[in-house]
Order: sequence, then C-alpha cells, then structure tokens
Amino acid sequence: MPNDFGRAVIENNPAWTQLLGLCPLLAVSNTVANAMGLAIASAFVVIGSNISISLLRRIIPDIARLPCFVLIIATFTTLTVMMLEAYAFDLYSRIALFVQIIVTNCMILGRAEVFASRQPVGRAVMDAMGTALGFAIALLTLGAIREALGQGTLLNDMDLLFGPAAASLRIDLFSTPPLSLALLPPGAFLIAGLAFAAVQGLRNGVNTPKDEADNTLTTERP
Amino acid sequence: MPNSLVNGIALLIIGGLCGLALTQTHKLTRAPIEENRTRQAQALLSELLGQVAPTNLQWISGVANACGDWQFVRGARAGYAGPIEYLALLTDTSTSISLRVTRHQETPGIADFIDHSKKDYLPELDNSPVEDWPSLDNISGATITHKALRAMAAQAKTLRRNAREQASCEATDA
Repeated sequence: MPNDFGRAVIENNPAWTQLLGLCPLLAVSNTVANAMGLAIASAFVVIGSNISISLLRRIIPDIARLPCFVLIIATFTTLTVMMLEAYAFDLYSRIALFVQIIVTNCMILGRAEVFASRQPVGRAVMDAMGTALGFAIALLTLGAIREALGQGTLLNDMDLLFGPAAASLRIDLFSTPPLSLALLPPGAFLIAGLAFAAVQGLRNGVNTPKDEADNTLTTERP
Repeated sequence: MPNSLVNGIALLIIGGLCGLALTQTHKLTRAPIEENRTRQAQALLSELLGQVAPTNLQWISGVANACGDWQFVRGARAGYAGPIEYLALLTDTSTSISLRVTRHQETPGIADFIDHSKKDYLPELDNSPVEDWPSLDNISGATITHKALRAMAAQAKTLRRNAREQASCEATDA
C-alpha cells in the first residue's frame, strides 16, 4: 500500500510526469499562498472522490461510470467552493474560478477511472494522498519560484489561508523583483517548461544503463 | 431484476447521496457565506459613495434610495462567458455614473480589466457622464465584454428611471 503512495507522488506525479492539471497549475501558481490554496482544495476533492468512488465501485453501473465519476467529483468540488466561500472568503475571491474547474481536472478523473474504481478504499486513499501530494509539490515549487522572481518575496499573503498571525511568515528576498515576467502567463509557461526539463533530466539521470537497455529491449518490435 | 432497473436504482442512490451532502453543507455554510457577501457589498457601496453607506437601504427593482440625491443600481448584462453582474452609483445632479463589476465568468487574463481589484480601468471612469459611455474605448470596443459595459450603463439609467416612477418620486430624469 505505501508503494501506491510513493508511485503516485514520484513516478506518476500528475503534473511533472503526466502533464495533467496544467491549466490551474500555470494560472494559480503566481504566489505560494494561491498555490497552497488550490493544492488544499484539489487534495480535498481527489481524496474525497477517490474514497467515494472506491466505496461505491460495486454499485456504479459500468455503462454510466464516467457520468457517475463526474457527478461525485462535481459534488466534492462544490462542497470545496462552499467551504472556501464561507471560511476563506478573501482567498476564494482570488482563486474561485480555478477551484470551480477542478471538476474538469483530468488528474482527478484519471485517478477515479484508473485506480479508485478498481481498488479497495485503503489503496484508493493512499493513491489519492500521493496524487494530491505530488500535485501540491508541483504547485508549490512553481509558486515559490514565480513569487521569488516576480515579486521578490516568499510566503506573502499567507494570512489569507491561516489567519492574521500568518502574515509574519512573509520573507523579503529582493527589494526589486529580478524578473517581473515570472508573474505573468508567459513567465509561467517558461518556468514550468524549465522545471519539466529539469525533472525529466533527473529521471533520465537516475535510470541506470541496464534499465535503459531493458527499456530498449521491451519497446523494440520485431 | 432487469439490468436497466438495477442501474437506475444505483444511479438514484448515487445522486441522492450527492444531493444529501450538498444540502447539508449548504445548511452549514449559508450563514457565513451570506455574512461575507453582505460585508463585501457594504464595502463596495461605501467605496463608490466615498463615505460609509447606509446599512438599511431599501431596494426597489434593483435600485436603492430611488428618490434620494444618489441611487445604487444593481443588474446584470450578458458577457462573453455568461452574465456579468454589476453595481452602479448614479448621481442625481449630473447623471454621472460609477460602476463596478461584482461577479463575472469572463476569461481570466483577457477580461481582468473589469475586475476593480486587479485593474484601475473602471475606477478611472468613476463619475463619468452616462452619455459618454457609448463612446467608451472605441478602438477595442469590439469585444463582447466592452459592449456589456456599455449596456450596463444604459440599463442602470433605465432601471433608475423605472424605480423612480414606481416610487412616485417628485422629479424623474429622462
């Protein structure tokens, strides 16, 4: 079962490896606070929907499984929206649109179809937690880089998530932001592209020559 | 039992569970959401008015303070991706208008200019004569969002006139 968790975080990281959920990843990762807000919301939806789908897997009609998955995911997304609007209104005002489109996030529908609908609850929970953590790592990494370069700070506006006391977490790195472009959509694409390349480079570096040889053998066709 | 009946019952159970979760959460969050929205609306009214706005405003067909020196008007016009809701302040003396968009579903990034928390586009137009709004931003006025803004100004004026007639105010504007 721990393998499910580790595999979901690293090997099948939804953002860096499978390139899923890129729309919210690029749009909301302009600061760590926004990224963390979306990461928490996405985690709630993926864990809640994986548990529900796994519990209901024996009664979900095969012929209508995709509409059922979407209904369950949409329910959890709506619950998240209502909770955010009630208890984190300022953050909701900033990221509401991207929380609402979690329902169309391929990452969550993918885990429902490939894993939760075929596995018992325990394994589905571990997979969901791994997926949520993997997506959170991708969001927070991108958020930290973009905020540092584009705004010259780290952990700004954390009071939106954790109350007024968290405002003191802000770290000022540069008096003048070194790359304001990082906050804009083109900056998001550039930094995310470099990060994807770095992750792929690391993955290739980890592969031993024997692994590569094995891969070649298994992919070669007669 | 036929398969279609079993599937139908299963779908009913799943739909029912989802509905139950939504209604219970709605009950739990309704009060704080209402409180947040009221607080946000009150702050917006005060920002437009330049002083603390009265909390006991009487709204008639989307218009508050219909017979006073100024009127708040709230309404909605169709944008590119759905209705754009707005709040406008119209002054009686010069028929000038200040307008804020309170809710929209326009494309993020492209239509950020209508969001006063992100851009100064609308605040910079505060107190412009209503008659000037049709010529607003002629060059880029081809977008549906810009057209919606113009329609909002026209609609706000119409709604105010209707409300003043309905409230039988002494003087009604054209």
